[in-house]
Amino acid sequence: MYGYHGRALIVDLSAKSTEWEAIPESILRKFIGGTGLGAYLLYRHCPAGVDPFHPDNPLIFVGSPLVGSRLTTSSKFAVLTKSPLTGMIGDSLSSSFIAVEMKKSGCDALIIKGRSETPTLLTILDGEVNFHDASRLMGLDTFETETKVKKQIGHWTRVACIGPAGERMVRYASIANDGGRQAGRTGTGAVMGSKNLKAIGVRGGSLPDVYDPDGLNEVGRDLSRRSLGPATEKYRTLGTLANVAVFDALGTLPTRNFQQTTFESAQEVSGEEFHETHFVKNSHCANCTIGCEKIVVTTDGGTKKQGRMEYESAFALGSLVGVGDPNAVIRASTFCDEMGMDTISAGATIAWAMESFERGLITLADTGGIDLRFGNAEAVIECLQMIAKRDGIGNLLAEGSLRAARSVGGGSDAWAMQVKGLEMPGYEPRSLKTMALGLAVSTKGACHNRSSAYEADFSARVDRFSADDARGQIVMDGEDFSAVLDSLIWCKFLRKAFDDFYGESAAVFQQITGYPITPDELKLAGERINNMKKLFNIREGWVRDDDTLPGRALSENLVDGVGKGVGLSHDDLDMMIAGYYRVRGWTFEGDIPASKLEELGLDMIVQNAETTNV
Amino acid sequence: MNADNLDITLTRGPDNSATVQITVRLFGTARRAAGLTHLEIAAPARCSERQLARLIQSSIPSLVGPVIDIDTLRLKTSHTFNLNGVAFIDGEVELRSGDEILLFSSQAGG
Repeated sequence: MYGYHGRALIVDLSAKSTEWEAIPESILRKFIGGTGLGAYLLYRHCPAGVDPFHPDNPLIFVGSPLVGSRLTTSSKFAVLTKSPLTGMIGDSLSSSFIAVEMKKSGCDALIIKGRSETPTLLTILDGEVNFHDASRLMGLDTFETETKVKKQIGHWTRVACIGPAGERMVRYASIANDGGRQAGRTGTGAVMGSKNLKAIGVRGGSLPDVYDPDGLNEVGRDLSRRSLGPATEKYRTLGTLANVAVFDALGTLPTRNFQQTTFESAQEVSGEEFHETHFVKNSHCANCTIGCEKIVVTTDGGTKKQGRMEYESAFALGSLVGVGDPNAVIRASTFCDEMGMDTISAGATIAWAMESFERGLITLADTGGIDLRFGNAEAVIECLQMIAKRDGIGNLLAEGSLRAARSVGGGSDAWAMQVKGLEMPGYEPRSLKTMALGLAVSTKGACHNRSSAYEADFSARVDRFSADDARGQIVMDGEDFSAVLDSLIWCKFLRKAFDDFYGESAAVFQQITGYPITPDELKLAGERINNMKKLFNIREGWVRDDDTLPGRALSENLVDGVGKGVGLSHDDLDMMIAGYYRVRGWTFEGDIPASKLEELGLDMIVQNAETTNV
Repeated sequence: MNADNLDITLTRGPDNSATVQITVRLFGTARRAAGLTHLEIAAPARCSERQLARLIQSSIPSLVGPVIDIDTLRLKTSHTFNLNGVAFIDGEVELRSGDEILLFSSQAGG
């Protein structure tokens, strides 16, 4: 077998046991790797209806055929579980050296089940699994944990770990690896914490052979060259932070919990400002030629803080909470990385609390005296600290905006800006109608990366202020494209460097695995993967009403920016959703008919998975 | 900057004026290369993306290379024009005095 090991390693933390499970070639070809293979494995290994914090909910790390190939941006992995935020499929991507070490350990996927009675460090060294007491690691932040594990196991060990937020099962806790990179969304770190698994250390072993190494090297050189061209210019210069000032000008920068679309301090927290005043260096993932990561540092008189900064963090801990001080944004973002928390969900949940405070639903007595108004940077940091400890109001906010709103009541769910329980990224759906549809129907909840539907809105292809039923095709195409991208796995920032994405990717897949595949078959795999994800959600109780947007987005018109006066009605969203279901070949209610399952080769897979589900 | 000095065919715009006064707002790489946040220029009332690029580069030669292609003097594929934050410019655009052209990266999202 080329490019794959053809097996998964299953670790049972309750029994402290391991077993290997073969992954048939037919499954690898159908689901590829990454989020695709992970969706299949989650369906197979997660018992229907299980509570996300139950020991039986598996936490699945999945590599891909491209990992270890040294192709640019290929050192990535996916983490899947039943999300404690959404109760549906949770998938998140991260990258760098640990992806390669995991693949060297001899498996295409690591499936972790059960719950350890005591804090545990799991090591996989040269393919040998061991369970270590991790009591001394508890309470350490993600950076300290990685350092300690390396000291204990060996410097070249690669580490995935949780911070204090994961230990306390903050529902949007992340899993950190390789010096602060995060599998950030959907609460994978909370599930890891529920298993009493503090860290995983991986090192050694060997990679599977590549079918056509010479051909792959040639493609790799060409792709690396293209990765340094105009298709990645933004990521190599200001990075995703460049979005702040542009989104502000386009009236799509969510501000003060999506009450506004422009921010009077946008320039202060813009990519241009970060680069001018706070930039330290670019950073790369393993085997990446782009180097999108921007390392920034505080420049005020306080304790110096240095860390990565992305648009989503700058928006969620900046404009969304009304904070225009770049030093405060750096501190908040760095703190989230240390504690192991998703910056988007953390910022969005605090923004919900700020609005609830200003409306009188949350009081000073509730906050422990914190003046939780928009723009109070100190209050943001204090809230983050309380969330990570589940202390005071932090215990409520650790549940995420939807659960917090249901607890507080008073109609505050209308301004809990989430979809299916996952907080919204930094894209205003009322002025980005294609993106509105992409957010509403995403199996993962409000994720900007699973459809990349904003691309159409940021082009001359559509009128982004109006809705039509043709958006369904755009969103479906984007979702299927992203599913292939996230399964092979290529970095999204490379996507525009391809002249013919499906053709070139099919060729690379064949060079690595030896499996012949046509571009159309690869595209079909993307459709299959999205249907697999939807099947999981349907099994876990998804209903048509889950495909929607929060009340604010469907009842309030924009009050500022170039989209002032624009809104999005229930009817318009329903019309776009109906168009999406139609092109997907689903029923009017969004269910997958048996004929579609058969067409995608999912019928037998579902039956087999259900009969072998444990 | 005067559009009459350039090799650009002037055409009448919707307000029947040959040229209009517009603001070009620069973001990201364009801003850094220019050292400016914006500039005022006179532009044909109806002009193409290519004409806009040539007008802007004649005012800010430092954009040639990072933003404007050195051979064709067209906007590189890494960048895009937007009119008033509303419409992405693909082909020709009709301009009115006071309009804003935004120049930023074409790589959306992230």
